[in-house]
Amino acid sequence: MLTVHHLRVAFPARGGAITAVNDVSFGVERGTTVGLVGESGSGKTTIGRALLKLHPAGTHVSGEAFFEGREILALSEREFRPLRRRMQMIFQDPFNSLNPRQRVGSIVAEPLEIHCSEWDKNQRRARVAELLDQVGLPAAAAHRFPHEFSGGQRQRIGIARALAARPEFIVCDEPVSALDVSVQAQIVNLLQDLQTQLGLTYLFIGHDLAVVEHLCDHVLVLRRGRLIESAPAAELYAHPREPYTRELLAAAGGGELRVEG
Amino acid sequence: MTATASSPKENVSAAARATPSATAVLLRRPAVVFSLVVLGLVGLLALFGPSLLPTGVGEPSRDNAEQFLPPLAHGHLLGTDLNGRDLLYRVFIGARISLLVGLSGALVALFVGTSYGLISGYLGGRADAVMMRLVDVLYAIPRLIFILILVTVVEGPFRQWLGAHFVGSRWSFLRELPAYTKTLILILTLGLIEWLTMARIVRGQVLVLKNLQFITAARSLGQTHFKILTRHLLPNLSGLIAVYLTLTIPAVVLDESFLSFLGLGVDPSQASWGTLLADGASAINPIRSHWWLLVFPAAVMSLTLLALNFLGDGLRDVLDPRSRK
Repeated sequence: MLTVHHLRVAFPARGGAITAVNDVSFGVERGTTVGLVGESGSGKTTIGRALLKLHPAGTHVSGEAFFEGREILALSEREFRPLRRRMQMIFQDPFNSLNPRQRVGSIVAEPLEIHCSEWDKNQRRARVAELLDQVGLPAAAAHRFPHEFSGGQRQRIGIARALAARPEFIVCDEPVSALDVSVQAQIVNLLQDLQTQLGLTYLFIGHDLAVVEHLCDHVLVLRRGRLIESAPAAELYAHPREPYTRELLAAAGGGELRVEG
Repeated sequence: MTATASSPKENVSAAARATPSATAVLLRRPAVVFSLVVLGLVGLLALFGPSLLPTGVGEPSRDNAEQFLPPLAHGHLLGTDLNGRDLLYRVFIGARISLLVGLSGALVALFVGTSYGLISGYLGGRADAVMMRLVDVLYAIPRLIFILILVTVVEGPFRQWLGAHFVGSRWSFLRELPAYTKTLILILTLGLIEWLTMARIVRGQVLVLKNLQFITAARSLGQTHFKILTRHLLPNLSGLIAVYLTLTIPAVVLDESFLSFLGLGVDPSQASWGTLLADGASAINPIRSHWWLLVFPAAVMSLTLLALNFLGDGLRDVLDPRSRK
């Protein structure tokens, strides 16, 4: 579904540029979940944002990315807009990712206004109710403001918004790392259920290796912007090849080895 | 990882914080309540005050005995002026123009400043730098001189234009416009001077807001820039804008009064607090001081400006959680 060749992302900086992502290639097959792990600053989020063209202005992105056989990195925003319906994102911070001045119903309906503009009010309202139910929120939530909800509930609202226009591919940018452990499990299960029901494809960015193992079919390990290991999840966890991956696993398992950086 | 599929449907509003509303916090402040009472009173008296007084007290009197009456004499609560006009009536009428100029000027400033700040902050980068340097340049221009020049240059052509376009108008209030030429110019120029602070404040806040994830989320949905500005950024700036609107009004009122005091403000046929003060100041002479002509307009104006500033500060404190105790 998605193939990335030699992706390179560089941010302008004083006296040159900082290369955040360097020569990264991978593929994501339809209906699967690919995990992207690495320590903070390793370029995980940058990859996710670059694929959805959400990088800040002035960022230099090179390489190729094919979504369903179509090159997307070179597209202009106007050309890319129809594809935004099919490629969505779930954000890390459930407190900042919802407009505090918008009601939940209007937040979830926003993608519908953009991509299903021919719908009337009733169709939109019905779809919002359906989405809220899908993510496990009562229909009455539509009339409330984000600050009336807990972190986990807000993350459900964010998921409902991402799902609204029926996307096929979703970048999950550390969707559970800001949540309590008990709530994390609920959200992870929700993501899994939605994947089975809707046949979604995920690019799951995370630093919690337990969550990544639970969710992903294939795992990519990033270090300082480079892809250092790529293997099916079970194999990677059983037989990590790279010492860095072993360190990451040990750190996640509470071992004594420290992750550098 | 063990997973529990418990539904979060029950306690949706459990997370709702039990903080009192901003209005409630605001009304607990004595200074704010005082300001609201003063402003309400001044506003009502500006609108209805003149009609509460006996008819004709505001007209110049031919009777010399009516000239320069001290307060309370002959039923004139605040005395009379050089032409025998009731000062209380003049203060009410002056409030109309002063508040009108203050409010409209502040609204012009609000509109220009907010749009400019929004666009500058949202564009960011080089465009932002250029736009903000322009603001710095405008800040550096002595504004009174700027207003003086603008009023002088624009007045003639603007009066002609108003005369050409509105004198034959169907609506009577539009036919009146040429008489208000200087007032209109004042509103526009003061608005165009006072927007700088608003632009800086709004731009600063936009720089903070645009990095929040809900803006990125809107972009990821394919939302247009215009909708991101109007729907996502502007509503989150409304508190800030309200604060700086209340703080801009007194600044404009003060500018207007100062210009009117110098004789450069509103048209001579109208009275504002500034022209009243000018009249009062010119009536002072070493033999007899007609103090009431200066004291009462000055007191009312100071009280109003004080109230507006209190209200603005109160709003700012309430809306800025860091300053809330």
